[in-house]
Amino acid sequence: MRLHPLATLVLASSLSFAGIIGVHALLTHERKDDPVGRVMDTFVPGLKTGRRVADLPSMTSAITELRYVPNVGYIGVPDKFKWLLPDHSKLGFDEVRLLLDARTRSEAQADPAKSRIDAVQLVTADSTAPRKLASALATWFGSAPRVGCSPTANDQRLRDVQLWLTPPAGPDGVALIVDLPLDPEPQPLRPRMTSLLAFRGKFQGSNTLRATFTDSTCAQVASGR
Amino acid sequence: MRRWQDGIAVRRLDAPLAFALAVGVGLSIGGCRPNERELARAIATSDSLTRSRADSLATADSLAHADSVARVNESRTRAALLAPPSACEDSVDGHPSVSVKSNVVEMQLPAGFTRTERVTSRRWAKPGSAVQWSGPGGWILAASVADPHGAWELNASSRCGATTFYGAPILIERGRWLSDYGVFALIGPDSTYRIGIEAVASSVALQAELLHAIRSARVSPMWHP
Repeated sequence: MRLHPLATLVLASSLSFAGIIGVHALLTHERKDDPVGRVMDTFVPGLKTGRRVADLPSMTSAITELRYVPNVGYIGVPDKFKWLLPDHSKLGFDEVRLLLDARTRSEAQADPAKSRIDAVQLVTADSTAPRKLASALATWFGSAPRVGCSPTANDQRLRDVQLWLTPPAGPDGVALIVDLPLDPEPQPLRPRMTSLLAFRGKFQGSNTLRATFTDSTCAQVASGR
Repeated sequence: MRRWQDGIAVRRLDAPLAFALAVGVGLSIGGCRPNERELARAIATSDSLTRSRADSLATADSLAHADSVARVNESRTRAALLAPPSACEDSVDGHPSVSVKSNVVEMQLPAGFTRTERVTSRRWAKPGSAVQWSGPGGWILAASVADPHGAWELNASSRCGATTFYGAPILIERGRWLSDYGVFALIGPDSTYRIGIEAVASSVALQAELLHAIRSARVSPMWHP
């Protein structure tokens, strides 16, 4: 069967377009029904994992003072704007980290043109952040989190980890990591830090979080000490 | 017996193939699993960033906290307002200094500090490894760490994860030591924190100078764990 030349052209164009869209979606991890994308769009609109750091100006102007930190990635200051959450409360962040894969971040000086954003971490000292973010994430993901703990190696501090995966077994997800107080008394000299880490791909514990991770709750970890 | 011998024959025939397969699997696992040391560095750096961020926000946070506490307890407010300097803070620059070397570390000490024969006994120090320098208003001691958990005699008001001027990971605590001002630091060539440095000063100014000296420490080429 011979196709009309015009039909052949249309078919070829369609296939090429679909291919380009598919490759683009694969590279930028765009998906429908995507709570991880929704989290990113809420707090750093325009920022996409999978894109190169050099493309940042074309994605968003909400991150300034970007600098490279070996073993982590690029650290910047996010817009001071306070983002509106589903419960109509507002929240801002103090720092944004564009996390790189193991090979790229081990370079003493990374090339932004070759550094793809592997995950995004937002850090805040706002004491209301844990409650607000847990509520927002439960709304966006429509599920309860998987719970774990991140014990730090050197200062005996524990960080509570709540993990939302989509679909429930992964591959993508968001982790909410919250400093637990060292003592029953509040510690005014040092704020409790909260961070939100959005990642693409299968959750791989410590590798994904860039922090020691255990499936036990922090209460279990503390009682075992 | 014959079958057993056949089995051996088959195994022998397959040995090169099995070897190639094992090498292939090994390489693929090696290629897929992030390097453990690299991951440890990533975790340590990420944790250090979060703690540094918390320390940088500590003063503002403590003032805000003090403001709210003021309504309840005036004496607690005064204590909170008198927030001690952060362990992350290194404001010393251009002071006269003297280079010292030992089998543990090399560093720049404030002028007037000389090595002493008598070494203060410390629980955390590996026996026989400690070296001490004393000067007007204080002393500083470096040793291999036998027990990092036995190290803390400071009433630490601030803790900071950072790097030395030479890039080694360092965990610093700053606080009171009885009626004096202390600094304790653990340095790790590769995040294992196997060298401890403790300094005691009679004034906050000297404490700051000794903290600066500790940041200038470099692991001696003669040091053995």
